[in-house]
Amino acid sequence: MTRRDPDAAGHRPDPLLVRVILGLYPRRWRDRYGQEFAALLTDLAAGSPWHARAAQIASAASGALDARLNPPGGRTMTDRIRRSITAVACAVVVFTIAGAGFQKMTEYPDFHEAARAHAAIGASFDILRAAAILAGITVLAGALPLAWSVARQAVVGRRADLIRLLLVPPAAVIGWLAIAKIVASLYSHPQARFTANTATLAAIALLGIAAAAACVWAVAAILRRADLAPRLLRPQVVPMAVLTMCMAVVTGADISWGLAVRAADSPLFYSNNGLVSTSVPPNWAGGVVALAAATVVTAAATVRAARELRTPAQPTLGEAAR
Amino acid sequence: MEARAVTDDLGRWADPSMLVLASLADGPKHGYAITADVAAHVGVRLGPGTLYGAIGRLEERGLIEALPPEQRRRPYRITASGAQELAHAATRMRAAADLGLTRLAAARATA
Repeated sequence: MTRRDPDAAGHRPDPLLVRVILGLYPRRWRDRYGQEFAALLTDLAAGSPWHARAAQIASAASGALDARLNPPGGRTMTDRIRRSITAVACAVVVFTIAGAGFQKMTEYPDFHEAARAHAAIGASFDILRAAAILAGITVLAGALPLAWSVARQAVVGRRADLIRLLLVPPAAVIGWLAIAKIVASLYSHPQARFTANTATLAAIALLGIAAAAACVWAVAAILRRADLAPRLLRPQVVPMAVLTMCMAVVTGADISWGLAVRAADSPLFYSNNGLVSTSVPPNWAGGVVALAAATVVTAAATVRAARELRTPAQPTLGEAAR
Repeated sequence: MEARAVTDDLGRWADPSMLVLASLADGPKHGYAITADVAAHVGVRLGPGTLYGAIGRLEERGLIEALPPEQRRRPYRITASGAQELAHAATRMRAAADLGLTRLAAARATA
């Protein structure tokens, strides 16, 4: 049987684009509406001009996002807490990347000297580092019980899908660090042209975003597929709250550090001692924005999760309609 | 105060949902037929994502029900609750339209 031959029910396989679009929708949605939706997409595409087809594809993709955000039948409280944890996981990835960038930038001896010479810079740096360490401990304290449960399910249940997903984050991070190190050592130089170093930094940043996206996707997939007991999920609100406070302190300390460096050692602040020998201010500002965004996302997710625990269980829309 | 309609909480999905209900008011239709019907009579082209977002919400609220599929194309039928909702929403829309048109005509007459 070729790919174009009809199946047992006499239906020809859907065009590749239709199958790709259907793949964007959650599995529960596809089980319920997949066949008829595929038939609709095929009917609409027949004889349509290219711009109409583009609009149909955009509409279908938008519908997939809506189906993921608002699944049919609504969500249970555990699902909603799971979503909050996923949001925090995304924020932690962004936070870690921004923190790693800051740590890398401030490795230069000039920054160490500035921290020793000026109390405001030194204090900001120490507070930032202490809060970052506490944030890391909090993430581990929250994630370890979940990770242990997932790892046990993966091994005992011989869940190859969970094992593959668990390997994605370390592989992505190690791969990115290795490539970043090679690219940075090959192309950056303090006397190099500004554009060359900026391009190198941009390339490393893009690779980092790809690695971060892979980590986030893997964590979200694990949280969706693993069977995590409510007694494991509900207590996550506590480390989430502590993490929010740590992130806020780190963000504030980073802002304070940058302003202190600018005030006490202006030549250093405006130098090309940033990542890959680029300018410091955009490195610093970009890091602050990333830290602040991660903090806001974590805070919002924590508030949502805490509300879920306080609200009595509500029937889903499907139950309410019956 | 008027009782809150089931469709009041549909937000931006209220218009497509009303169009789907109006299309089904004269008999069951599958997705493509609903799209073609709405385009022909109202001049609005419902994208597939918008259409099925509305169908999912209407079905959840019991305003439409699915019928057995015919060659992968599944028709939907408006329920009694759906017909009631449609009548309620259409009456409100007509009142708003009448109000607007009447006042515009009066403003033109006095200008």
